[in-house]
Amino acid sequence: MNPQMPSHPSREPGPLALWRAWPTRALASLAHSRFGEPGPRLSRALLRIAATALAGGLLSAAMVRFSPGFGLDEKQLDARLSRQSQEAVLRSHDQERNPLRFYAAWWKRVLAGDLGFSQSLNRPIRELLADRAPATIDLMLGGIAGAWVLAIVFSVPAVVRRLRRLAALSSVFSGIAASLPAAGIAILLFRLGSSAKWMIALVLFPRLYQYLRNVLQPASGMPHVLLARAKGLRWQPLLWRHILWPARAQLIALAAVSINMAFGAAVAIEAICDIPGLGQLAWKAAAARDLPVLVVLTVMIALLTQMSNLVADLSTPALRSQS
Amino acid sequence: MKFIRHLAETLLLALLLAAVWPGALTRTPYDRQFRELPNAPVSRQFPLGTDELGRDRLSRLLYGTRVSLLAAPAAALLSTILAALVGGLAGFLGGWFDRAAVAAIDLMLSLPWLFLLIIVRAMLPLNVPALLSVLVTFGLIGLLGWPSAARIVRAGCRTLRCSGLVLQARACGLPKGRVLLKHVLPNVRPILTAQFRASIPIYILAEANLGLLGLGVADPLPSWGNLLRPLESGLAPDWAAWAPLILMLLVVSCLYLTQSSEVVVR
Repeated sequence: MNPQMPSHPSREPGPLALWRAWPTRALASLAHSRFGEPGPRLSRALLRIAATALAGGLLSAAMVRFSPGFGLDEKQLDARLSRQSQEAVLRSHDQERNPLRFYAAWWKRVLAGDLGFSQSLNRPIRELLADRAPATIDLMLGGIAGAWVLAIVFSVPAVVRRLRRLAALSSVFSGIAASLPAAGIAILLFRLGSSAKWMIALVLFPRLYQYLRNVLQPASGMPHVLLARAKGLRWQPLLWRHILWPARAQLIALAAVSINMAFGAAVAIEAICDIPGLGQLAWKAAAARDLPVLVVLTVMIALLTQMSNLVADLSTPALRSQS
Repeated sequence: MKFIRHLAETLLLALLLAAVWPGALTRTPYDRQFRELPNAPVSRQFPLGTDELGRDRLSRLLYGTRVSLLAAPAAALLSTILAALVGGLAGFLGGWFDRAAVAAIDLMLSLPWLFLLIIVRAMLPLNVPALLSVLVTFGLIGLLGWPSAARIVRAGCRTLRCSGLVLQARACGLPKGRVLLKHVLPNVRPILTAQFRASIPIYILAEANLGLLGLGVADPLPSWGNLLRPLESGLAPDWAAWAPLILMLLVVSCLYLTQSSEVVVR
């Protein structure tokens, strides 16, 4: 008997148990330095994330400040306002004229728990985010889930069970979805009376399908998979234990990327379908050059993307250690 | 597959010819208004009917195809040049420039492409002459589209930096700039070509998204984006109003088919 082989394979934790355990293992790896030097690696990653978010916010502040029409307010056209009132309206943008000063003051307020005030929507930004975030989160979660279901339904049987007709049909369907703009898909499905979640799902589907096929196809041609297939293993355990499980790190990375893609699609879809979410807020704020809202949204989205990528990065060594 | 690819190339060529010489298929200027015939149905005079201002839809579609099919490659060229410059210099020089370039690429890629595009375009003036709006829209798409390509070019240049041919060239005393231009960039040309070709359909779709949101090419100049705007209004459009979307689907599918082995992530 090979001494390196486990003597009681049945006592090994199953894939489900390992999946459940990965967050604990990822955190443990950071605390106990199990994978090289994770402490410095994590601090470097967090530092990079903070720097990216800071730079993103500063960039958006500078862009808005130097965009044409900044500082103009439609209230200035109101003939009922006295000269003093009009001057006061003009002065209300004074603190935003120097983007560096504005940005430093903004961070000071944010650290004190104040996200600022939206002049175009005349409401505190915290309230706007609290009102609109649930709609976008719901839309994104539903859309991402729908896209994953579609991608799995179309790619897994085609690759694992080698159904050529389904593979061809999936490629055509994915090609059509990839050849339409997100806003075009939104209009098409809106006319058909579909939910906005399906719009996000259909925008994300071709990308997820393509990646999933690229991950599954080489995995299904590996010698151990062919051997298991030749030995007559049923396709469900074959898929779970020998194809999906070894590719879990790539799948987690793909899940992280899909958050970024979903938000991009949500901006166009919320604007087209008039859904009061964060995407529509971003669009309205950009059109009104609402600097504080844009800075908050840019920093928030940069942080969300970077954090989801970090979680995917951290999970990779933690998952590898379980193999 | 080869047959389908040839078919797609032929179709693209025919569409490109029709777009470059729209006068061969229609005699009506794209901005001529038949005020007595608004929303006219399909007829021999107007094969796709007229829009709400009485303009010939076929003529607008052909001229719009010209704008999208010619401006998208120009934007792709701009972003590829930027990617070659930033990615090439970062990968070849290394050091602080590389770190700064990677930070800039990370920052740009951490914001969703469509979000960034909509935000930046909305900040720029919208009430500009039609021709200038084409330049602004596609120029912006090109200026914001370089990061993903730059990351790939940087990786290619980093590999080449330690290769024998570059070490030999530097040992012979060639200045860094010359090594980059003569030995490094020509070796990443296949990557740049693939990025250029893969960017074209993405930029066509980006312009369509902007146009549909009213942030793209300005009327009266047609583009696929602003031709799709009537679909967004509450009125039920007739089947001919869907023609730009169908044509875009056909062209972008054909573009994907002609480059099926090249994949770009965005």
